[in-house]
Amino acid sequence: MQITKPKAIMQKVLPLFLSLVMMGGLLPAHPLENLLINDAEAAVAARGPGGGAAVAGPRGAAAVGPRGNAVAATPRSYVHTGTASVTTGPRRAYAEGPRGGAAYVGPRGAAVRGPYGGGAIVRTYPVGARPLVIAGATYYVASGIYYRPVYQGSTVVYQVVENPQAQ
Amino acid sequence: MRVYPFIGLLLLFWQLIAAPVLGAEKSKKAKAPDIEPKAVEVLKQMCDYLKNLQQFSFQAEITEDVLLTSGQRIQYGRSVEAAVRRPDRFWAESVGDTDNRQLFYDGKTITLMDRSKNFYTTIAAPPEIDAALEHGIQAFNLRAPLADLIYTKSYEYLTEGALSGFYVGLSKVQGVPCHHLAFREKDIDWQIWIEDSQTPVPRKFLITDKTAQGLQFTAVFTKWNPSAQLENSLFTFVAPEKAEKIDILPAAAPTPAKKRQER
Repeated sequence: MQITKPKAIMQKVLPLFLSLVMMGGLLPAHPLENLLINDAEAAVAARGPGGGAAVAGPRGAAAVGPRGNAVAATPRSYVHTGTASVTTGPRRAYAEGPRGGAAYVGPRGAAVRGPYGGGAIVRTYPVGARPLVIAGATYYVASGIYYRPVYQGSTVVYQVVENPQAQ
Repeated sequence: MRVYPFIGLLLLFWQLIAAPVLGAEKSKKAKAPDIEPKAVEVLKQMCDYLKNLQQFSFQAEITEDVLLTSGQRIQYGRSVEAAVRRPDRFWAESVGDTDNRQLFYDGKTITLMDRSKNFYTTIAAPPEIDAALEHGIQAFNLRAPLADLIYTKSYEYLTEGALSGFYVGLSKVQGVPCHHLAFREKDIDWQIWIEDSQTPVPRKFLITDKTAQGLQFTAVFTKWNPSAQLENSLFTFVAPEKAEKIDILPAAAPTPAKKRQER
């Protein structure tokens, strides 16, 4: 880690400085976000069928890494799908990685969820979704996406899950 | 590309070590709250009065602002009825424009029932109201804006985060003479109107969220029954026919990744 050459300074010290500035909230946006999303893209491409997904809506993009973890979210518009299921609408987009990680981009921002928390949360299921009872539990299905009702705080919301019949 | 894990570690370091340490330093420097003695006296009277009521019930009309994605502010309303039997029973029902929700606490479990959707969930809870509600709020993000009023330690909870408070003056809420108090906290301002009588119950409670464009929560208490006779059955949940039990998500600890997006 000895930093002597100017190139090493650029590579090691500048990102460090930028990340410190970013943490201080001095810059409105992450100056490295392009690099980060490229990094995610590379990871998806490199792992191939192992998984990973990125998704974009009109107001941003989010990515899920090959191990189901969220990699990045950025205001740039960019979409890349791995083997994950991806749904996009005019106002929102959703991607779920093969290990349960998920990324969701809506008109007000983006949310990501790690591999152990389950899928993205929406306040209402899509208009036209049909209820389906599987093993005594109610799901709502729209465009091949399964939503299960679940309490988040004091409110019933809907969480995207994998097709429970496929498990 | 090798520097990115390094930056990740730095971010992690910041979230796990640096930020909490700096936060702790900040709180040490925090000044003692500047609360006018008259405000302390009136608030304490209310809290002591409520604390000593063994069984009581009340009704309140609640209005609450929400922001549409366009930025427009909309006010929703709901009627709440609640019953408390110390030390270990609590029940509340909220009837809103589009939903009807209930909460049952029977000394062992808290059950949330959404009557409009016919779903419910049950969590284990400590055997005492303060601890049970606190558990629900901390571990499952339950929303209970009026809980501060029914805790036995309500005075401590109400003034815990207060930076300042003062006695605004005498005021009337629905014709009832009240003391009007106003307090400031870091993220919220709140006001309370307490009946000016031998039964110093709250008549109105207003919270302004300074972090969310001044969104307001208001509760106007329309009815108090300080000597209610409350049966066990009121607090015991019986699942309605065809109601389905669903899961509740645990409150998620904020992760560095999430933090990064929030900016």
